[in-house]
Amino acid sequence: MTRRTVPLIIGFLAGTIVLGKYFLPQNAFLDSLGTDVVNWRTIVAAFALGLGAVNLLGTHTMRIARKEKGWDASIVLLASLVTFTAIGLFKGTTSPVYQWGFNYLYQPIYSGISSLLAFMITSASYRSFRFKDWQSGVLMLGAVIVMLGQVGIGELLFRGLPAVSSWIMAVPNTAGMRGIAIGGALGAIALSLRVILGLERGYLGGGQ
Amino acid sequence: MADTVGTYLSGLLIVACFSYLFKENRAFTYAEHLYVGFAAAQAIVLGWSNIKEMGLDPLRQGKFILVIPLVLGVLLYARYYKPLSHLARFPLAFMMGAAAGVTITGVIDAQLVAQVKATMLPMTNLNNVVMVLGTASTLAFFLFIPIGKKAEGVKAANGFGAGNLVRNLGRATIMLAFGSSYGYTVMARLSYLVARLQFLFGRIIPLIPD
Repeated sequence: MTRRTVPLIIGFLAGTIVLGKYFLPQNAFLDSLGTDVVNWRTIVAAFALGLGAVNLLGTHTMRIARKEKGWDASIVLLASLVTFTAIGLFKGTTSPVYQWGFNYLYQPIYSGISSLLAFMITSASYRSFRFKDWQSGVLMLGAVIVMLGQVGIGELLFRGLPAVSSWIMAVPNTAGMRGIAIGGALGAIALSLRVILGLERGYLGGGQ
Repeated sequence: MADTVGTYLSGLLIVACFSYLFKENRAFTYAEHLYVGFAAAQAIVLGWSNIKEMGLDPLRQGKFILVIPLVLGVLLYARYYKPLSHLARFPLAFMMGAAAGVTITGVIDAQLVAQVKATMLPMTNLNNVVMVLGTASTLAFFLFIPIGKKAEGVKAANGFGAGNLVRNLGRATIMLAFGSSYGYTVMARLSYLVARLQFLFGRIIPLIPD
């Protein structure tokens, strides 16, 4: 009973209270309770972040202890994790030392890896843009027009290309993405309802 | 001084990232692990500030109801103690339930009603016609049109092939949307790359004049 049913009841109550705040006529008690539940979720989720850190610490400490492949990189990870956690907790994220780390360590690696994707995505487009049927033709045409429309050479080739590119982004792209967004929203609502009603219980894990 | 060291360190780290293009190597792996460590540290600091500001500080001021989320949060760690590991399901269920509620309310407003409302356009010009038919056919393609072997019966079932027409229109819209999004992403990533190269060859190795 406590192992499966109680969690399902807790999930049902949490979901119903949040939904009640939104759908039922305004009620001070329900409003405050709904807001509380949403805030409590943020607090519990903050504890879950710690769980992730504990897992990361455990995995990399074991890797170093066993001298597995790449253990030296694990030292870098742990050093960075421990150092910046300590600085963040004791000196604050606005302290000059933390900001130095953010600006000169975190940001360059983030932008470096992000720009690496330019190479990956270009090689992916070389492999995927093949004129096999009309659908792949439309896919390729859309991509080529938008890419050429954003660089100077596109305008040199055909004066109206930037305008066509903007139109594709503003109209057919919005239409397609909107259809996908509406379909996704319906799916998200259905899945969320299943979670609240206890029909979706995979997150509880296996066993009793 | 610290800024100068930082600038050169940034340059080294960017080169370490780009070295992956040759092959996976130590410099890239170190940079990658440094990034993951910093990102995890950021998450921990953010999590702690949430716990402190939303839980511990108000609790100290007498808001004792906050014991509930704090206890639920601590229960997440019960998974490491086998006899009590099932208790970790309570906070998990609470988070999932609340998240499901928040998702429904958020999605209904921002994604469903707003998007449907924005599609209700008068069919008086080409843009509006493309927008309405494109959105409707994309939605129909995803939700109602059978694909694969089941698609064979579509034409026969409706007699004049309206199903096929909607399917093809939906496919064309999706392909154009995906293709243009892809092209846009390529250009965005290239501008990232150009900015990094400008930094490397402008500030670290001054080949590009300011």
